Amino acid sequence: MLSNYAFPHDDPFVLTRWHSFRRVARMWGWGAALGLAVIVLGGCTPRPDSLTVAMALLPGELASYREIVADFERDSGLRVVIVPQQYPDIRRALAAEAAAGKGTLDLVELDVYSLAPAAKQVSILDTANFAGEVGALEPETVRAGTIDGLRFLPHRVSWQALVYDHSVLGAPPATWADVLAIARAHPGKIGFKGALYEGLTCDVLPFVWSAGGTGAVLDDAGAHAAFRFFAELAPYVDPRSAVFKEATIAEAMARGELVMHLNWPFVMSLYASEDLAPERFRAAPLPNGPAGRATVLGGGYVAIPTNAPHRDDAVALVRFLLSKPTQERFARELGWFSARRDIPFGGGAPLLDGYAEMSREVRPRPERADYPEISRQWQRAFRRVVFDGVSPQQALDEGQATLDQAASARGAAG
Amino acid sequence: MKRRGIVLLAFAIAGVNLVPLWLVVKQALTPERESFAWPPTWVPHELTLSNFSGAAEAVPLAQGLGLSVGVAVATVISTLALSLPAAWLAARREEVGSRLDGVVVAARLFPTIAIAVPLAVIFVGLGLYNDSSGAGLWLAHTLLGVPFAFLILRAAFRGVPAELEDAAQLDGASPWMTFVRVSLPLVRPSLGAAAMLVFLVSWDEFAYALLLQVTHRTLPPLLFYLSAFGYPGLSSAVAVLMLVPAVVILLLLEPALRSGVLAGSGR
Amino acid sequence: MRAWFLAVPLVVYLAVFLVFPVGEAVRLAFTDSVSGTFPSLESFRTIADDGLFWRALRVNLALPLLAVALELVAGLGLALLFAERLPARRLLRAAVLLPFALPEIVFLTILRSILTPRGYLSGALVGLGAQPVDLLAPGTFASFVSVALVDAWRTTPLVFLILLGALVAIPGEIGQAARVDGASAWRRFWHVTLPLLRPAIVAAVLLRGLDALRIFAAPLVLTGVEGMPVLSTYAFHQWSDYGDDGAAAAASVVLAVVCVLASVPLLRRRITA
Repeated sequence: MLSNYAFPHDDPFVLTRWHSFRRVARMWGWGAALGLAVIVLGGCTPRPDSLTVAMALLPGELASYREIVADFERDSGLRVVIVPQQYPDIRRALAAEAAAGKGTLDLVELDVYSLAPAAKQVSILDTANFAGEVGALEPETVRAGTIDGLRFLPHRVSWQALVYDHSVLGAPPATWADVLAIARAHPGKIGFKGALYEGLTCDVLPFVWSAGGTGAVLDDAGAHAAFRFFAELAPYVDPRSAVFKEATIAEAMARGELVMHLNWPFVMSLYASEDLAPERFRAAPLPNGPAGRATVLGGGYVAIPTNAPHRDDAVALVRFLLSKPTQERFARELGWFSARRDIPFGGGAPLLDGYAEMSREVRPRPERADYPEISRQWQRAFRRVVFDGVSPQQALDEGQATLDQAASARGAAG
Repeated sequence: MKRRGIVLLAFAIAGVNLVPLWLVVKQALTPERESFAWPPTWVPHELTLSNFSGAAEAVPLAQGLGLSVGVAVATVISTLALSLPAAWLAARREEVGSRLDGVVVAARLFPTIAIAVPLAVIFVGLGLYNDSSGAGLWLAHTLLGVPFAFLILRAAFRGVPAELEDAAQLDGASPWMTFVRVSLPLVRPSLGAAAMLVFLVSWDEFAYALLLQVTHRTLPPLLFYLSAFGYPGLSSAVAVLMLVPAVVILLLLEPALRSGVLAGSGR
Repeated sequence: MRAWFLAVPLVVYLAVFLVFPVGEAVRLAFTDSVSGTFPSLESFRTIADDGLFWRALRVNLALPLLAVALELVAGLGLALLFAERLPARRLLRAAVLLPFALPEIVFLTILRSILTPRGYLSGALVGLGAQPVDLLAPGTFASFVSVALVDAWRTTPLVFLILLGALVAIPGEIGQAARVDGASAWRRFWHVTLPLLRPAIVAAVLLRGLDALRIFAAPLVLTGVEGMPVLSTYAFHQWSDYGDDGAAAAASVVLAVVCVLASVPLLRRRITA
């Protein structure tokens, strides 16, 4: 019998010969008592006059963010419990609370990409409460947050730039040709965020746009030009790009395993906190393609969940977060970009110059109902060309064919 | 000489096994920049305790610790409460025992992900998903703990002669009193071992913790995220916190492990 | 005496927490995640169209073979080593058990920083005048071996304990009789010790093999989902990167079926034993 093998000495008295048991039992008792004490202390649930907010903050950002929100706590007498998490996790928590019909979260931050699917799970904001804030924001960003009424307000906006190793490269590449030259000189040290997820699409679209493509179809001339460029780069791309995401690619660069990659502004604050920037790592605009340059609009929007326990207090917090002084501090202390028109990009921090320079080149993702499917096909096509050696023509044609097929299937079903 | 070779080999293996432990402690005690150094350093050049406070600033460490301990202690209690009576019965009635065995082994062998994904969906409906007190995670960890506790305790009860219990009952003790006064004290050592093992199972558990809790995290996912975000020092500081109970329990359980009683508990 | 009620709480608990999730997994897997129709094979079509799923399936079948083989050799070697007289025995044994005692996530994160191209291992190699190595490069055989090796390193202590228990249970006279007959050490091991260890070896292989089939944290932490995918991490990827509960459930149903098929020999042993 299995358990006989699992317990070769099926003899419980073996343990009774274990003389130190008394000591063990006592320690165990103390451990349990300590554990219970911790539960009692830790289990003290947030007081009723506290707000729970879930924000996509990085480990390095939490302390500064807390300090900024402390001003709100002082003025309002409310305590703000900040739960730092990643966007997909916040989305799950929000969806779970909506499904359960009860909630603990008073405010959530979501990425631009997930606003539409999350719309039903957050309340419609009363525009009268936010007249001043909405007036100061880029109208484009407000439009993105309006789905059957104003539901999301831009907490911060964000886009990618090129992060490069200044100590190795000296100057950043200005054109695609420069990128190729650097790749040849440093084989295996060019990285992409090539895991199968939305982040890869954010690395692909800038190149498609820079070659004149629309990003909504895989088979226009721009897409082909961009993917021919990827195919040329492929031999010099770090193979671990197949699994890199924002954080892992940043870590590989910190270890000196890469000389350049595309990333969001957080990585510059990360490197600064590790004394790796600006001496070593710097940010530069993305290189120019045949049709100029471009980068994807990203960022975090705040919203009040439908089951938020303290809605009015949450409204007050949103107004605080979007106010000019707070957004200025975000820019200065966290390096975040503001959607307010009265705040300069990057707060004048030289660390983020490369990002500020890209501010005029930011574009939203294709606004189409089947965008998630298009995004997946970009990801697949990139991986097939760069990691599997498939020709750009074939990868793009097959990707587009899959999209067309799905569209006609939907048409037939609808 | 052959014998010298064997002894050297044994020490070499032990030495290699100590390397990961040493590196965790080293990274926890040196500044972040040193952990990124190339070539890497094997002994700390600069000592600091700032990673511990840094980790507490970067992630909700105190809540994570409280949740980890709370879920683990609750899991120990619920697991033992479920396993004790069943294990006694299985030891006394072979025909019941072999059937229970089958159920328990099935629980032990079923893939975690195949339970965690649907359980998350079920918990969403019940309001137990991402529960701030970790109630859902506790229920899942109990499922993990039961096979260990059941098998250990059944083996222990088998070693208690049935005649002892019969004698007590002849003297007029109720079945309940017999269990509490006669059987239970005799299996106390195994009970302690099972409790510690189940505590560790819950304390180390990663997959359920990753899927069932998203904003109220226990220590293992917090450590995973700190590490994935490229903070070797901060994540090592959390690792040291996690190590302490694990190593203490290992040292306490070492005699029991040697006797083979816990072998096969394969967590 | 109606003592059976003592087992009721346990059985009810296990039934609720095994039967309900399994039922729900099947329902999710056969539900179209977009339209909500049931039954539908849409989720299985999604994963069958995904090259990553097939890679995950292949790796998931191959990885346990290598991992268990490594564990068996290492565990047997260690057991034979510890059957000898050794100085500082307790200390050595604690050191051997250590990888198993470290929380899995702690062991894996530190192993990742050892094996990364500019990690401690490459550092040591460069110090010895060799070239740095990348043992975690996605999709390579090296990373496959690395994942198996790391998992084997962590779980060898278990196999070691099972085999050591069986080894010390072998009566000393058997070995002595063989020695008197003039058998060489190798022949004694092959013809006397190994056959006596057979039941314990089979038990260890079955137990560990089934554990290795549902391996999750090691490939996830060391290589990421796409580097060396297995069914568990593939399901997690569908769940967390694409939010596709149906595809995640479909992949985990496939894994569950693989596990159930693999456990048939184990159950058969229980019946014949």
